[in-house]
Amino acid sequence: MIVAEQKPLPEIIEMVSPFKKLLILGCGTCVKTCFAGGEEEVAVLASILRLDARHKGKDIQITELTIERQCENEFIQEASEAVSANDAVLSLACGAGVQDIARRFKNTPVLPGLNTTFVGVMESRGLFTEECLCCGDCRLGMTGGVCVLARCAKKLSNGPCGGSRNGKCEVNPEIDCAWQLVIDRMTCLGTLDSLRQYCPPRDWRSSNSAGPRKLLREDMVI
Amino acid sequence: MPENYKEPIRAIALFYCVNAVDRQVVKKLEGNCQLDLRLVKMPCSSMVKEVFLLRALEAGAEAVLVLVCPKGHCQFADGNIRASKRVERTGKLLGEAGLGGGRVSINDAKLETEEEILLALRQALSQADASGIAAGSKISNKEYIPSSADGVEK
Repeated sequence: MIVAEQKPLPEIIEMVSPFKKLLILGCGTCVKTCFAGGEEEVAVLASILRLDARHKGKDIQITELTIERQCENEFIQEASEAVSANDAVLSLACGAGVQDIARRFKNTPVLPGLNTTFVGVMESRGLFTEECLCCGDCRLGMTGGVCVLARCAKKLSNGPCGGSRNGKCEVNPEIDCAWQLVIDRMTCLGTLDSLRQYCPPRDWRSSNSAGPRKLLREDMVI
Repeated sequence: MPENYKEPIRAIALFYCVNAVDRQVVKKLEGNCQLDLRLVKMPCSSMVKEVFLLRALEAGAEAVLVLVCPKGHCQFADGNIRASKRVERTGKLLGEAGLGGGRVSINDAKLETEEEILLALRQALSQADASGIAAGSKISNKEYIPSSADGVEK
């Protein structure tokens, strides 16, 4: 999932200060799972902003709404009425969601309430870990399902580097050595010998270094 | 100070776990403690959420106190720990926004008498005062009714 965290409150308060009618729009998929942009976070933020406005003697009308996803037009349409009834939208979605909302409502300012951080997993409740860089050239099959690009501090395709201690990374002893995880996993699978195979340099043309990527599924286009 | 001066009645919301304090003792405080006291009972303090505490402040409370079971005594394993983390986060958010982080507090001591609970309420109000938002400030507005009104005792 896409992992995000709420922006610092002073930054949000400053951003929304010019507006008297504000829609706080939550997103019920990835950012809800990482406790950043679901119904509960929308309600908490709305309450804080109302308290702040009252403290400063300002008038603000806040509408709260959470849609299933802010990156799909079918769901965005559900927010049309609420968007048109407000001066601005504070979107609690990832960067893609914010941009999709902004694209569809050209005359309404759309402000980001979150900082999108990475694509990752919930390792345990409240702990999220980056596990994918979206490089566009997945080689997880060669490394036992552990992404060395996202999880090795040195991004080694042919590891390990030899610097790890007790299964921890020498760059950051708080994180697991990705190559140790690869070796443990492949030992478990009985495929450790396949690591002797040389892994050629990655083709970075599939990454976002050449600008935004597009994916076309011709069979789905009508 | 004028002779007929009366100290303003201060508003506070008390969220309490029914396993942490005797409900009858808490009820006796209502209307008998020189405070505008709103009671919200919970079957376990894990029921408390950040938004409930914030809405109590919106509803007019100057401070919010959450009474939970002592450490290691939650009947549902870790309800008091969850409550403690949520109260802490609410305080952090309020503090970050400059709205007085000390206006929400938690007490996990074993409180058995009206006097002990009243003392905890007074301490919560003092803590709210110390957090920088003055009593009776514009932040309170009695027109608001918490959306979680189902749990508010009449």
